[in-house]
Amino acid sequence: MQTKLGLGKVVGLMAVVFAIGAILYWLGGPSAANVTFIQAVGYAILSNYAIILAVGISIGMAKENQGAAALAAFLGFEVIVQGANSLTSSIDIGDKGSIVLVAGLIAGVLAGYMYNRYHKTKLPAVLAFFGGRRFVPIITAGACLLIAFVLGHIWH
Amino acid sequence: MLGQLQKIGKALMLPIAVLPAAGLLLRLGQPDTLNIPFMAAAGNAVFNFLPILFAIGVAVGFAKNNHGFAGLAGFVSYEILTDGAKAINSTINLDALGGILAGIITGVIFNAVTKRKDVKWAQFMGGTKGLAVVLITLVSILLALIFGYVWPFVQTGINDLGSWIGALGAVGAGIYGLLNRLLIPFGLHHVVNSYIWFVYGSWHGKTGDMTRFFAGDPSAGGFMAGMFPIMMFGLPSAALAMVAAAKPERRRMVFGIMGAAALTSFLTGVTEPIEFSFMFLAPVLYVVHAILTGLSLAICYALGIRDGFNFSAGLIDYVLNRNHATHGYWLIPIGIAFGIVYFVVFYFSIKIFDIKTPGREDGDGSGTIPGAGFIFDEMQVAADEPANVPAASSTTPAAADLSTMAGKAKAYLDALGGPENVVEVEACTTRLRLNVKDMGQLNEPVLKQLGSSGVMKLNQHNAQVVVGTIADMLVEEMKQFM
Repeated sequence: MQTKLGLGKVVGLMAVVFAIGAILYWLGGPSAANVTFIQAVGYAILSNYAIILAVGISIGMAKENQGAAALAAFLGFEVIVQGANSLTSSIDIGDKGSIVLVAGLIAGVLAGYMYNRYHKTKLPAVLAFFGGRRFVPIITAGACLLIAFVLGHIWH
Repeated sequence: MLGQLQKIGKALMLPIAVLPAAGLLLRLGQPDTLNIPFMAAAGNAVFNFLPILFAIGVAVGFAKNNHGFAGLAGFVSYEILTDGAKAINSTINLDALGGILAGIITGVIFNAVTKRKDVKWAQFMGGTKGLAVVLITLVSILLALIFGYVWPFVQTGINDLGSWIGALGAVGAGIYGLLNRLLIPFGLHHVVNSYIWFVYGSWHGKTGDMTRFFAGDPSAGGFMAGMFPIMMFGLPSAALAMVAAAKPERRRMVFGIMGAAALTSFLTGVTEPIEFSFMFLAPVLYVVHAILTGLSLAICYALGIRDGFNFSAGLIDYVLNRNHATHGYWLIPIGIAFGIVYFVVFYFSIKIFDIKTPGREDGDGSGTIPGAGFIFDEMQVAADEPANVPAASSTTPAAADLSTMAGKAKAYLDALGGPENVVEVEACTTRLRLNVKDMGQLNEPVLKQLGSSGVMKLNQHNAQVVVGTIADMLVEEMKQFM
């Protein structure tokens, strides 16, 4: 059995990933090498900071750092952002919008919590396929649907 | 190679499990049903980001112990790959294949790097696991560079292949149906499916027979419609034929098993319980089933029937998508016809060739029933009843509490040669995928007694054991003892 890496190490890893993104973005920019491709790659990391945060938090929280939590976190993030956006057009869901950070934090924490609580869920035989770890993304997305509903109404 | 390809099929199960619920939301939120944009948006959150779900799912599925760092790396890898390639050539659309590819590369590098001795100075980011993520990031940049220049050519090639299959029309659908079923025993059907469902064809920027069907493309669904007659009528009829062909005194019990399997297939389109109950007992019958499936797809395509599913071709999808379908009502009479053909073919084949399907085994029927073991067992687990496994000879499992999943896992592990022999174990829908040191240590009689319906030895070290839908939870518990 492997041991779990704590949140601290996950934060360490995220810092390294963001640093790589930032260096590439600078390197590809006009003040340095000026290569569009390198800058685009750096921006691919930086612009998705909220998702990386969500995934990282969920892994740090989940028992044995299980990856099903990572999938649930990404899914939860998109459900919150897309769902809230469908309720009101005044929300900026681009990478500069403030809701993405909030959505990332909520989805990450929820996914980690849901994994620890529901990864052994047993369902009736007909639905058995959806039990166990496969239940985690489903229940996380469901919870995030409620969050999206609330945020969609109060976020202005 | 075979083992690796199967891993993809297994890994896709995690993201695929979300599809029915998402499809339900997407479907019910549409203007023609409940007209709730909020619900549709939530469903779209899944379908629009399918490639990313594949990237994370495959990466996690490939990675040893399904470690979450691989999921993080899979996401980063996908973003670098697609955004980087697009920066070079804006027409590039890697879509689902990009996600699967990012996932595979991530998983392979992750496993290779974490095998090494842990690195002290990298402890702050999780040691070799963190280093693996950094390495994957860098490799992905290289890959984006290569794809940026090479992919435009491949993209043209794939489009040509797609139009070739499309040009084959009904014959193409038939070939697909045949291949789809024949590859199930090897777990490779997902490779064909992911091409047909998510890549084949193009309509308003959407690709794949399934994706286009749900986006509203009226021409999509030709490669899925023919599955409904098979899964809703054909296979359930085959199950009933097995009930009818069982010995009279065991018919009632076999009905309990096969009836539930038939109902599952009819409602949800999950066919494994039926298919695995005769696949090993009568391989020729399974080939006949594959040919009939191909025939159904070809016939439905030729008749202009278009229907789709986001999970599988059962009643739920049939009812949900009925307004999306073209001539969908035809699937019912065609299905009934196929049901009759399946019943006749199965009943007489079993009787004439004396195939030992569930309920036809020799003996007085007081002990366990080998052929029916896994399904019977599954029902017992679902009802939380203690399993009835006699311990009489050396080929029976060691005394263990088989009423709990943990006890079962321990017994399985012992039958596989213990923790020392099992290098790696993963769960698929209904199977354990194993990597073992010594294949000779697998005790097949005991595995059968425990409720598995088949053991497939792929090579010296890779094997699969069919255990039913408890696979996922069984593996979870087995890992506690490893």
